[in-house]
Amino acid sequence: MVVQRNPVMSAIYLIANFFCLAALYLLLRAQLLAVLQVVVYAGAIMVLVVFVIMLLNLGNEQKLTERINMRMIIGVALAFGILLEFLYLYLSPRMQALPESLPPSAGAIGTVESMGRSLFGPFLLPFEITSLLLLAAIVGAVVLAKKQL
Amino acid sequence: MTGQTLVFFVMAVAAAEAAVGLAIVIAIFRNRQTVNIDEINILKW
Repeated sequence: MVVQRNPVMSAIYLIANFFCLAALYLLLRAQLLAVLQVVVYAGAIMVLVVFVIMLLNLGNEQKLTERINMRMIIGVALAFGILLEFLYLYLSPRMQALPESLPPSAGAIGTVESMGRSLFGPFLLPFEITSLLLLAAIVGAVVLAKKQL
Repeated sequence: MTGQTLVFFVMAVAAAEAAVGLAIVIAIFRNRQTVNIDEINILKW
């Protein structure tokens, strides 16, 4: 379902989506991944997307004709219903009586220190291969987007 | 720990893909003067 035909507004919605994804990472106790999500995606990738939108200079898009139809109403109603269900579950006393499922040391997994030890320890070779892949992607993007080959 | 490291690699690969994909969009726009997906049929035989 396309709500917005305007590419810049769609890009702003995509930024909001990335922030929501970062919040999900935080709920999973992956702090470094949440920060990376915001920095890499909501920062770098979105700058790239907005830059391409400005470069292409998209103007006269036709307006979206059907604004609110039956499917949209049903979808919003269902989403609201599931939101109410989650709220009920979250506020019910049985939910709050559940024991803490994670051990207290689980918060130390997603820190920068443990991620760095993993990246530069057992995952050193994939890490270096990833840097080579990024270099190849940069060169390929420049070659593809160049005016004259 | 292994899972989060793999998520890190997935994010790096996805970032590289995004860069290449946007470059392809620019190249197609330079060819066709449009990004409307209905008018791009250069793969059609």
